[in-house]
Amino acid sequence: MNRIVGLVVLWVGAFLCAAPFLLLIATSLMSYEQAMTYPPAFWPSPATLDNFSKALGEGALWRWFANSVMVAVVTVVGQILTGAMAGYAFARMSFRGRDLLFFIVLMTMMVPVQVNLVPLFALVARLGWVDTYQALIVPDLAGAFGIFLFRQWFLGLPKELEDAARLDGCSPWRFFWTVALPTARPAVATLAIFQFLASWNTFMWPLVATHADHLRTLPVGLAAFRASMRETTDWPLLMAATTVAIVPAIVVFLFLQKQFMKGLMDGAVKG
Amino acid sequence: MSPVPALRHPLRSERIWGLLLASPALLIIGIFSMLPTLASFLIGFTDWDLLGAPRWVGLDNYSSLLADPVFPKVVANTLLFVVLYLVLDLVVALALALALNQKLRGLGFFRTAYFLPVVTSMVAVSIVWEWIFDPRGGALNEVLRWFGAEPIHWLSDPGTALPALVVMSVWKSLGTNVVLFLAGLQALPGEVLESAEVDGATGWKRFWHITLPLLGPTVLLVGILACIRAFQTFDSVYIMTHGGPRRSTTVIVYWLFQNAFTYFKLGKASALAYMLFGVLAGLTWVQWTLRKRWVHQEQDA
Amino acid sequence: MPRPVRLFVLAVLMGSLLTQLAACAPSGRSGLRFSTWGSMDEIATLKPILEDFTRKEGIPVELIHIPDEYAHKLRLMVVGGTVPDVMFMSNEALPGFARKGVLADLAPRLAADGRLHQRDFFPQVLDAMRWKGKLLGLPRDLSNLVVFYNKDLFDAAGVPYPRPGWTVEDLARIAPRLTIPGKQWAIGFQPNPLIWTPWVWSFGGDVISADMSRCTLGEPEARKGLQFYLDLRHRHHVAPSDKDTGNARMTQLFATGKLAMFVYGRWAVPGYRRKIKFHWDVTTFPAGPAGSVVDTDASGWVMSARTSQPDAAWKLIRHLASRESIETFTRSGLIVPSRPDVAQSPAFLQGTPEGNRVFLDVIASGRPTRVPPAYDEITWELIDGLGPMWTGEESLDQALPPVIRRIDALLAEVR
Repeated sequence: MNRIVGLVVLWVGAFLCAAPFLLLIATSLMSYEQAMTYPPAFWPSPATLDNFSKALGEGALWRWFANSVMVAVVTVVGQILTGAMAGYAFARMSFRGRDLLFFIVLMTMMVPVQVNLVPLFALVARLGWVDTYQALIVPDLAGAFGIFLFRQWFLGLPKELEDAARLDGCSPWRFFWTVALPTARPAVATLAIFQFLASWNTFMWPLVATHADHLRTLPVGLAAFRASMRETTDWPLLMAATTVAIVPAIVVFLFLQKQFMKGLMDGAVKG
Repeated sequence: MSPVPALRHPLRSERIWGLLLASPALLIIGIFSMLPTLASFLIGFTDWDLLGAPRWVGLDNYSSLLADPVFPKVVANTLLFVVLYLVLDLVVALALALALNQKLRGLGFFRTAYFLPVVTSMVAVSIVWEWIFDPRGGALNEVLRWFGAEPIHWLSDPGTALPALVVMSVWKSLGTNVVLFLAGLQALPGEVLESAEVDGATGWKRFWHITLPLLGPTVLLVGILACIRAFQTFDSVYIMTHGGPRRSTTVIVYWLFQNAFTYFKLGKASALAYMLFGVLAGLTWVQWTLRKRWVHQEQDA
Repeated sequence: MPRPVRLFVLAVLMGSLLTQLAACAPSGRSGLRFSTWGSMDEIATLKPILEDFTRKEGIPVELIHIPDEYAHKLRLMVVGGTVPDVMFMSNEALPGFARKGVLADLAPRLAADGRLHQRDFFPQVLDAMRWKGKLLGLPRDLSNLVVFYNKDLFDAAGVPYPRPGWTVEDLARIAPRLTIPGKQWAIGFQPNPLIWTPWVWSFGGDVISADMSRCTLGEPEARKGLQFYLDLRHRHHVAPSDKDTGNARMTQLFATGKLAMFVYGRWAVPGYRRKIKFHWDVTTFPAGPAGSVVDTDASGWVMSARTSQPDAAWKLIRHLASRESIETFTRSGLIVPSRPDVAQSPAFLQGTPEGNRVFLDVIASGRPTRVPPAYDEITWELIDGLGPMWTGEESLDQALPPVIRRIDALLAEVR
């Protein structure tokens, strides 16, 4: 009895979670006329890919897509490199002010992004980076979460490994690259998916930092696209563009979901 | 090679290497994160429109914020949002996690389904939900129409706009909390639950008297994380309601953004940012303290 | 390849991809940067005009399309040093940028130009682009308000059409005959300051004093105008309530034949030409004690004072403001042209509505919207603070005082 109730709850939940996506895809396959009929049809007939060719034919969408991919990939690589290096240093090396520095880094995790928004814009403007890729990428090349994640990982590295290498005359730099980093694959994967999704979905900062069409990332471009049809909304066209924007994130998630769930747990529970 | 320099050399270089390895990250975080955080604090004491030079005004921004008639409205909106979100989110997520926690096949499938909204961008989600909430032809009103309800103007009625945003936000973040709750449930000591079953405590009673108290720390943790998230709501408001109708959805971060980049009152925006910071820092501190205690408890057990 | 080397190579590849993308971005140095807002239809009209310019002058133009929060984003670009060479701008946004010295004075260039002259534009519209004696932009269009009306509904009710020069008394008289409770209303109701301001003006009142020091909505004339408008809805029930419309836009209600009249601007015309099946026309805003006063606002092209290519920028502005270009914009139906030559041509006068001329006739009695600093916040306050009054939750006496206090405070903030 309990089991059946549970199953019903699960299926209803799954349906409600999926329904907006189904609606999104169904609408994106409708013609404008069909979507505007009242009462509305929920099933596209005949289904058409016109909206997709129209949305992609605008050209801008491709550009926004490429921008999002580029910004996401570069920040992921950057965060992994800087995070692994710093995480290793904080975990395995002793240098002056180490603990204090790590504490300060951790503190930055507590600061909501909105606090930094205004001065960050002023700084980026001073650097002449408004409407450039640097503005979208450089501030995100390192982050406290990545450092924290890698530090946790490297803390668990057996000390004997290091001692042996040290006796062999292996420099810390080489040891880090050839021995330590290759063991950190799970941390790399976790950080990669977190940072990819964060970068892919982030809105407020690119909204403030970029204004030219060709520099928009997908969320900002999508918001602009939506705004350009305020008077009469072409829902099927808008839904097609939205579909294009969300598919990559979902694909990446499906491939790396195990790491994602694990990272979520690590981030929330441990530390 | 004599053993002495071989040991000394790495130790000495470790100091340098350590800083060197940490420096790229420290530089980036220092310049683009810590510096702005400090600057924001200072800007909060100035009158600045981004174009001219900032003018020192002391605590004026804070006092004018408190005197601003919009401020109490924004605080009330934000608190209402947070509370509604929290209650709905925790109840639904816990129910789903409980249903998932019965060793059934296809657990992965459900978990993935609940997670799809989490990984989708808030902007995309907001656009889709704008369509769902559309008064004429939107899916929600169509479903309600089967039950004979009159069309509701979800996003353009001051009474329903905020709750509508809450519903969407709960949908968006449900997956995270289900996963966290599930982990919490699976970590519960099986013996206690089994012995309770032997004692004849079943169903609702067992949940209320045994599972829930044991799950307390997880509920608190998930609740605080949800709280922090809710306080930072922005994207959906920007896309769906622009803070309206009649400011009914102007929550704190949206108002902050408006003050900064619509009215160009950077000082006021920064003061507001630090007020938010204070609240969130408090919540984060509670979370960290609880987490520590919880982990210790786990280790003790 | 060892792992770190692979990672390094990946990073280098990414870096080069980055620089390449940055390189293929149209850069400011090779041509002009030009920003505008507008729907996709507008952009489709604009693009061939820009291409034509590039063909003729050999100057490439990068179009920066910012459909949302346009003026605010421009301001951020000013701060970031990436302000476009040429910008499309409304007269409401103009003072904010002018105060900061962002815009170039075009008067000397217009005076020296052989092809384009001051007399090519309506004087009132050109004036809307002036600020403290400087001419900061060349106008594309003027925007004002007229009354759209559904001829079929007038015919069905046996009411003669509202002719230019009609009055608020006429409106009050015919409105009940054009109303069918719950189904059809005589006139639309929009709680948007842009739309209700003419009621205040036409009764002799104002929103903000001429010296922009205080809010004057509390003065008797202004109150009479607001009360008249409110009564249409709450006393005579000839304008739909929120419950009646469910907040559907008035443009939609009119298009679906539920409104006999509503106050709106030219920009609704292209959609109505395509969509509306019934007969419709436009007439003047009904005259009050102070006459029929609507706004004469304008949008046009301005030049950055910091542009490195002022000559090229002027060429672009001149091209955009030429008779040919304005004619192309006008043919879309969207605008009331800034040039009399185009306004008097078939490009504007042909096509529905028959009363196209009304848009021109009201220019003489129109006035530009007053734009104090903190204009955005004041507008928010007007929308937000007066909201309960429009819905009937609060009376005029309840709603007005706090709004006036708050706007006075915002006006006083500017030292």
